[in-house]
Amino acid sequence: MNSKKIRNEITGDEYVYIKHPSGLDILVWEMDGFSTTEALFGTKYGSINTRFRQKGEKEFTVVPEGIAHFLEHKLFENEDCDVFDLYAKTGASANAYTSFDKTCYLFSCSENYKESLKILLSFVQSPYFTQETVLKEQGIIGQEIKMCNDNPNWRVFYDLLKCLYHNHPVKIDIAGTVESIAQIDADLLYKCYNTFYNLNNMVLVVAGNVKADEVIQIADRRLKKAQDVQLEVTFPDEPDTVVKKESVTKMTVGLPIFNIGYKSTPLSGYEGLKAEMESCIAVSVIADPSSVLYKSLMEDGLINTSFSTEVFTGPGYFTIIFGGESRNPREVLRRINEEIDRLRIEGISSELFENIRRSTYGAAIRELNNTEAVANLMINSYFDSVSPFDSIQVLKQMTFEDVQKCLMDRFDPDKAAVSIIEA
Amino acid sequence: MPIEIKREELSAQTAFTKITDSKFKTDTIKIKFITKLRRDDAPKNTMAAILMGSTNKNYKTYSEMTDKLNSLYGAVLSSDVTRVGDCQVITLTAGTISSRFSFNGEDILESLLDILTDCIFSPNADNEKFDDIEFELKRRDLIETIEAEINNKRGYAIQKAQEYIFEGEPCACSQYGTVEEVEKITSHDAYKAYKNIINNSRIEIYYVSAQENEKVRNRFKKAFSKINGKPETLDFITPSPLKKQLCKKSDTVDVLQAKVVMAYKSESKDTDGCRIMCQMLGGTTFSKLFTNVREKLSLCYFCGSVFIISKNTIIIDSGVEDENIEKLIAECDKQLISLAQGDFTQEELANTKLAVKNSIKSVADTPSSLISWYFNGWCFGNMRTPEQCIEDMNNVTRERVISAAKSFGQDTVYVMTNDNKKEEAGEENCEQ
Repeated sequence: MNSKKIRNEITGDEYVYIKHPSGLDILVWEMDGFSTTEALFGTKYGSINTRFRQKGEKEFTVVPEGIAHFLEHKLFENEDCDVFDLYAKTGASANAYTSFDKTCYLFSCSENYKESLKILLSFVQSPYFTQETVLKEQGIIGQEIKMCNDNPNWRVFYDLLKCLYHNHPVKIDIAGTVESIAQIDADLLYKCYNTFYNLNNMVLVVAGNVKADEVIQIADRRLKKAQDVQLEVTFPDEPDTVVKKESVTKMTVGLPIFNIGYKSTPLSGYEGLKAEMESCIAVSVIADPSSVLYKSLMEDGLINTSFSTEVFTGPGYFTIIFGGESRNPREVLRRINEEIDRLRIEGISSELFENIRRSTYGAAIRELNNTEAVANLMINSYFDSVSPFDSIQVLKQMTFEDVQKCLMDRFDPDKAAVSIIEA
Repeated sequence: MPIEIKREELSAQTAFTKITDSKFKTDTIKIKFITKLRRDDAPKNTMAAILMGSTNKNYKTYSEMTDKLNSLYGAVLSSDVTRVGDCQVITLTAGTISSRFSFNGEDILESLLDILTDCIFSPNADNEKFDDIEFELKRRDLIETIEAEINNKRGYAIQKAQEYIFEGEPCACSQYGTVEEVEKITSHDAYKAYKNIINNSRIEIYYVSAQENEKVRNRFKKAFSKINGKPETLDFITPSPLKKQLCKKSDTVDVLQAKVVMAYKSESKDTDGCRIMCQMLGGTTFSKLFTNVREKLSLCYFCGSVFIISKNTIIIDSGVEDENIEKLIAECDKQLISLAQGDFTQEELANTKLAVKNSIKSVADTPSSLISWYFNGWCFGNMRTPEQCIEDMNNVTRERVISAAKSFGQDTVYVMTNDNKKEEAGEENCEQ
């Protein structure tokens, strides 16, 4: 078994990386003084993974939308009991989530973490699906889908992705639709499980009140060695143009809600992180509350304090988003484009750049103050093929010129779209 | 190193609680101004709080303030307004990374303290009113926040339900007020509210950091010695009386999924017994509501219960298909009755206590949860440590759970649905 300690000299934090003989990668971050233990057992399998094949298979399997999320729900049911009943005996708070590119099973506890870890490793490796339990879950997930569809902030986001992406499955709802989940059966769930829930495609992260040695001992006993199935995942070709420039949906909202997105070229690994961080700084330079644009939009009554920005990136997609509420979202889009043009010609303020860089650095340090945030940082970084400490490193090295270049490359008004929800 | 907690009365109006824990990488300050919740004052206080938390005499606009905070490594300065029973709590929060992480060793905390004390004692105001431009910006923002409340359908349903659940009580009103009420507030009104908050609130200050630092305590001691108000007596526990007849209300809103909110009230004095019982009802993933309403009947995705200590009230909320509304209401009621009839195992009770214990033990892991713990303890006159609380929860017996469940009566059922037949059917009924 290979293991190594990885240390951040700036903060003094360190974690242990273990390459377990079963094929699983394990990351453990011992945090002195914390009571809580946070553990996540995740697979690189999210809602975007709708086409895949294993080595030796000729054809790609295409599965219904929302199946990764459905599988997450169903894994909580063992052959002989409900997983929540097992956790009930340890006191841990357990949950799971499915995102665009991963599914994670987690627990949080302040004692008995070893018992909870045994449960986590066991149930995720023990699928049990029947047609009867699949049918039962369709009712629950159907209600989850309707709950999300009642949320205009959720809708406006997906409407934007549908404007931006022609073919990439990032545009589909993580939970699918009531119609798509009706196509799911036990056989399909097993097919997805056996493909993606392979330890070579997974990671275990544990942070907080934990000892790496104890985690390894439990892993030794609970993990079943897995053969690498050499999974191949493909996405349809995605043009770099947008589908349409605008979408409008009618819903009950107080004020119109908007998302404005700028589509650009995705990158992965360290280069992807660098592009993401540069975009974070660039979008803040354009529209942070300290910017000229924010001040003028606010004074002209075009935005309110719900206005925010986000860099949304993952395998095959990269979008910079401005969102909020406005009586005139189209005018907000026009003003953002105008400001991007101005900054491209006149250049960004070096003082504003430096202050925002510091602010982003501060946020990265604050993240290390909390066991849950640290565990999430570890798993997100792992699936992005970077180190949890890389973002601090990128920020320390980032130059004014990097951000200016990002502004030129990633804010093309021709690749922008706006989605609006209005009453 | 164990956590150290020191509480000190700085004056008759102000107390300072210092929490030291070497594991933290940040300094966190929360200053809580507590007043009685009054319908007329609440939105004015909210306006004053928003202005206090965003500008001061040196940073006269939100943009200038943000730029300065960015330069302090993204230091946080914000205000929020919450309710504890029939009291209004205005909180100013300031936070920063410890100076040891700054690029050049600069003292970030000292700069942040300057800003914070100016926000409290030197606001961007003149001639007994806040700056007109900033006031108008913030007032519009508050109006738009109120208008946007309907966007979050689940939260909106709970808020609307509370108007009926607590009808006639101060906490029935939104502390933001209505659009019409906020439109009438002037800059003078907000300034008057600000002066009243400073002079007549009870003030609780919390500071959480990694190291002993007398500087913060001394700064506040000096700053708050300028005021010497006489705060009103505050009563944080004012149980809400059970209505003589079940109140049934519904609203028609364009929703895909109906939202159901139910309230139960009690006169029980056994707070810990009620808390454990409420957890058994709908506070965990092995609770009665989760197991039966969601997992067995597949009626919903979420269905949980919370116990509002200050009002001795349990609120259950869920989202469901229109045709299943009555079934869900009946099932939730049945689950509470089953607890009152003792239909639960010793194991269910033990597991619930274990979940509560786990949750309480994690309080020490974030500055915010530590502050909430000790503030709530002060509010409810029970300054026990998390360890003492765990012991008390462990002492809750089966009989106390049954007794707690028996003490609750159904008070209100509120439904938000797209189905306007509910209203046409004349199901509306509400009587104190």
